[in-house]
Amino acid sequence: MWETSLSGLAGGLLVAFEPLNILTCFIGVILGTLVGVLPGVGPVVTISLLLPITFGMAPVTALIMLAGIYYGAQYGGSTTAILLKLPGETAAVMTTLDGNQMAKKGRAGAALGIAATSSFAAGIIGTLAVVLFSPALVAVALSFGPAENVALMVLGLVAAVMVAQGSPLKALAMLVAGIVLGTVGTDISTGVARYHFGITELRDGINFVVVAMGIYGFGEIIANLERPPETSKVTGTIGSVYPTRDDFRQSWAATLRGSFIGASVGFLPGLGASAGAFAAYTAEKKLSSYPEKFGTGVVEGVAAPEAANNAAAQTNFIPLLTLGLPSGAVMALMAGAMMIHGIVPGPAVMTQRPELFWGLIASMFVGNALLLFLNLNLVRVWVRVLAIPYPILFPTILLLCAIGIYSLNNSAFDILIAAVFGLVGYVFIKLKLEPAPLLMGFVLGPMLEENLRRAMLLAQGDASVFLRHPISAGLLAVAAIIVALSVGLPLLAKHRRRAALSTLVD
Amino acid sequence: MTRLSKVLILAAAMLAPLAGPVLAQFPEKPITIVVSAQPGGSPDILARIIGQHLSARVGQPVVVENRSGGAGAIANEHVARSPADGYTLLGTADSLGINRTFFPDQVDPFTSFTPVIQAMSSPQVLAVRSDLDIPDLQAFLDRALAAPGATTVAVPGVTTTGNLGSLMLENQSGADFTIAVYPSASPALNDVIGGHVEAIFVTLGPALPHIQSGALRAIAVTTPDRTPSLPDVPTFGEAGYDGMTFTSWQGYFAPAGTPKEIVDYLNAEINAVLETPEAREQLLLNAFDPAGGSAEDLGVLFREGTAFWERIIKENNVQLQN
Repeated sequence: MWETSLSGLAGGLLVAFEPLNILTCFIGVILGTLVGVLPGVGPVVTISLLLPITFGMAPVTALIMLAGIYYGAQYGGSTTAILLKLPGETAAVMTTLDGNQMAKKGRAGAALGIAATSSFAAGIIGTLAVVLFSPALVAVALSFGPAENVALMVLGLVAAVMVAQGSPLKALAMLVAGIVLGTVGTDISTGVARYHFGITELRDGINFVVVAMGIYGFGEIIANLERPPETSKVTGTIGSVYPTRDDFRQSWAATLRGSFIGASVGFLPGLGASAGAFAAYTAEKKLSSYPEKFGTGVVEGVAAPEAANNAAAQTNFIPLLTLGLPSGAVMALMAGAMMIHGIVPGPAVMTQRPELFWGLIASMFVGNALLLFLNLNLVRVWVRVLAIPYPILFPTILLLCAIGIYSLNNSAFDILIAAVFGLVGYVFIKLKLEPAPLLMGFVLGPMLEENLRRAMLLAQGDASVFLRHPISAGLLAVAAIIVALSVGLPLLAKHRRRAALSTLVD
Repeated sequence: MTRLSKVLILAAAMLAPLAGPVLAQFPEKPITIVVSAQPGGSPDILARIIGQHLSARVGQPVVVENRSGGAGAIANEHVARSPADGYTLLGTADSLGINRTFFPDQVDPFTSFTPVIQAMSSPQVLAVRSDLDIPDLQAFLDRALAAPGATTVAVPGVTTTGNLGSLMLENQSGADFTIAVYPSASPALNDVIGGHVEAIFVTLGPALPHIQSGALRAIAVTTPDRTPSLPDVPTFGEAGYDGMTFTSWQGYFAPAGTPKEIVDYLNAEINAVLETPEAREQLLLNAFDPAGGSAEDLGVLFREGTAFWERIIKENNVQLQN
């Protein structure tokens, strides 16, 4: 199996290294970086706008460029997350936690450098996973039915509470608030629109990007306005622009773990780069010997989610390329692009159009190398963004956010929603509530509901289905162990302390 | 020059000022096709293929604008409010009529839009997992009748013809399926191919690659005649279920009041696009059967189709309620 993979890859490298393909790959990753940096403007909009331009290109050249936009955006998404606490992409939400703290301590350059290098390492690992494991991963992906998805969502929600800084009770409250927000919109099983208050735009629920932009972008700006200018600026000296040797020593393991987590979440249909980033950050915090420092600007907190979202961006292609099943909006667009060029995505692509299949995969190596070069050089440029005076910077960010939000669905109503969430975000900052669990609840809650109802329906109401399916039972067991450890260990420690105290008194 | 042709030229010269002001320069700016679909959805792909070829013919860019949401209401309202000058078209489908029943508060499509052209038709297909021992529709129904509720069918949405078709089949055969509703065709196909659901009732386009790869077995199509993409698969009518004959379509509408000259011009140009071998090839690959015809043809199809679905929805008592 691997021999065919490697010989296929060799052929693919020849295609990827054709000058025209290198050029379009470069154009793709530059565009991707750009739209990643621009808040709200995402790869979906960009790819759909550029689709007509690719009509005249050879199919492989077109796909190389479009794919470059997608994974390039994962690199770019971290930039504003670190500098401005504004996730440029959904997947960059976790990067805001430690990345922005690093920037506030004058280490923006280091954070950006770590983000770029860990994204690069993950991109290579993710692409290798695509090369070596595509057939095997497909089998696993297909075995994920509604019951397995439910167990995965439960695990994700449990993890969401663990990720949070400070009080678990506050985190739980935020998580529930997120799940409640997620119920707005049309219920898939019955077609009934819920909590839309007669507003047509709310019939399809609220877009994740709109909520994230509002809470993080708008909220942060409002909060900054009331602070006196001198303290609100990121500490004057930017320090060394690049990460130190210590940064790499501290973060390489997190990068590897993040890559593996991202690569293995990325190929599951319906999940994507953001779930990978959530999971990687949680795992890193659990494994760390100083979990309390997460959220205050530790390098691992940047390396792990950045690695995960980029690895996931590569393995996201697996279901499409091997089965013809797109796992999200971007992949649906890629499928559309293939169809327009006369290629039906599916198992036949690998055998009938090997130059296309392997050329696209090989181009991901090229693209990631270009992105590393590009982003390390851009660090100096981005860091200067912090030197822009706030009276210019803030309106600019607001305007870019508004344009980005409008571009999602050509809807001005979405900008209003974001403004409302801006106020909500400001209140959260005042109350010291961490928004990350809310966003995780918002993403995972509706998926949990949809899959739970479907699993119960297909099992004819027999709830034991979750324990009878081995994968779902395993995932639920992991969730149970995490809860037991987090609730049990502190209780045990308290008990011991009390016991020790009482013996002392005796 | 014969007398007749002189008369004709004279007549044309006299009529020209009437058509001239409207049509002479049309189109002098980009034409926008508004679709209620995310990029990559089937109406989006169709509009992009047609737009690409139409743009080459009329010498102006054709822009596809995605305004999804509200079961089409957002795109419909936008186009209904747009100037009736032919520069804004609505790319829509038979769902325009179906949704009118489910969402009576939407703009009335019959008074808000004027038909331009039917672009394509597309069969709906009932397919089962190929590892199941179900060779044909009769075997499928026998199995469902033997164990009520045990047969699972995936459909891509409550208001889709896949769901309505499944309900019609239950009604006409007396079988009882467990119908699992998905947000779109992709995740539904995913769960069927993964072995979690037994059958799927869906538009042929997304299912075709999986039927051709052997993962799914098509057991019946809804078209009146067998579809060219699957010549070996019988129609529901052949299998004895005449009431299950219907075709899904997609087409283009303009805001009501758009001058007839412009509607006719767009109709002729899109008809010409549908005749282009290159465009046909791209359409067929997506399992879109190129349609065409006059604007009036689409009007008739739309009226009759809407009446058909209204009756089905009433007969099966389909309501958007828990």
